[in-house]
Amino acid sequence: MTDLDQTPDSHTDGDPSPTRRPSRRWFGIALKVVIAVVVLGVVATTALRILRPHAYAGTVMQAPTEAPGLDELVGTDGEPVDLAQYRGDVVVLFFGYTSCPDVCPTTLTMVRQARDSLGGDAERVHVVMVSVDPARDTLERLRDYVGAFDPTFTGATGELAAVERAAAEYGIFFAKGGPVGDGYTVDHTASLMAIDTDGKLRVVWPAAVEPDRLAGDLRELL
Amino acid sequence: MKRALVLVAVLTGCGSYGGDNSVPDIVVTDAWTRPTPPGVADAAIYVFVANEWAPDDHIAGMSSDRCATVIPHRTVIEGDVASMPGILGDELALPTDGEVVMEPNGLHLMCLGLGSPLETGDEFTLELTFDTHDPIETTVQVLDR
Repeated sequence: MTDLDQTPDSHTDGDPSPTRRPSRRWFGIALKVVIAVVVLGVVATTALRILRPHAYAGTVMQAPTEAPGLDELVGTDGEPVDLAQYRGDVVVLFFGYTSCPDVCPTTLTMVRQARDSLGGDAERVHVVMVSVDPARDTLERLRDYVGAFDPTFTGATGELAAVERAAAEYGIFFAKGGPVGDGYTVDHTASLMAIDTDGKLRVVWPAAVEPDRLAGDLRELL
Repeated sequence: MKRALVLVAVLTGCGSYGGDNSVPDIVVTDAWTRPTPPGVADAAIYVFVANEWAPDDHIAGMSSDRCATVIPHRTVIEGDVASMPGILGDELALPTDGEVVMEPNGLHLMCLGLGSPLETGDEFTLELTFDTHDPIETTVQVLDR
């Protein structure tokens, strides 16, 4: 016991001081270098983050204007769509239809993935799909459809004329397309749009935007 | 040298048996689709088909136990507008070394008339027929992705 305790001491005492001092000095220098590198790294990253704006995956409106209201349409909750209730949050708007087998499921799945990756902030992102096929998309059908992707997603539909007005205000094209099976397809602008926390139409994404890049943009908008 | 002879034997064997050999000459892989929301009777199936050794061929037909009909179909996104014009040209051609890639927002197979909704984890059979090659059966996985 005593022997063991004494061994390090006797070893230290036995060390000739000239070899001990330089190693301590080197350690001091190395520590300073490490600290300097860490501090510089933190300063540089912070500066970059402040100086270089977020590179959006979507197209950002240079002079964003208030997003047109959708109160002529009925939401899947049975009430007229009230975009103002989302002020302070972000709305992701998409025009699609339930008989759309390829683009719409792809887009809605991707939006869900992007939204899910936001963790606690996800509840501040509201996803609304406006039907461009009001003849077939009843409220119930629309509710089942968007709900299958995410129970928080809402759908909106209405009279054809009202849908046409809403689409025109958002610059969305739609028209009856080619037949498929017993039914028909609908040609439509498949872009996603973001209404920012101030209620302004801010970002437009192409249909095939990557979920992680969409999530990055949403994080920035929040 | 021995190895080269074995390889030659395998290659010629493959050529003469046209698909029934252990070395596949046309491969059909990664067949998947998404779960369908209630009330939706059609689904897009994505699959990868490659002609690795076989002579020039062509996907001639397709069927599945879950779909009343399966047809080849194409989505086109032009100037942000998505449309589904169906098949445009010889998209199903499979020349030797050629492949047919089906992916979301592009070429796909349309499963029309689903008997019941597709649920995540379901698996079902898709059969492809060819102009000359024997039919190939593959498993379609229903993936929520």
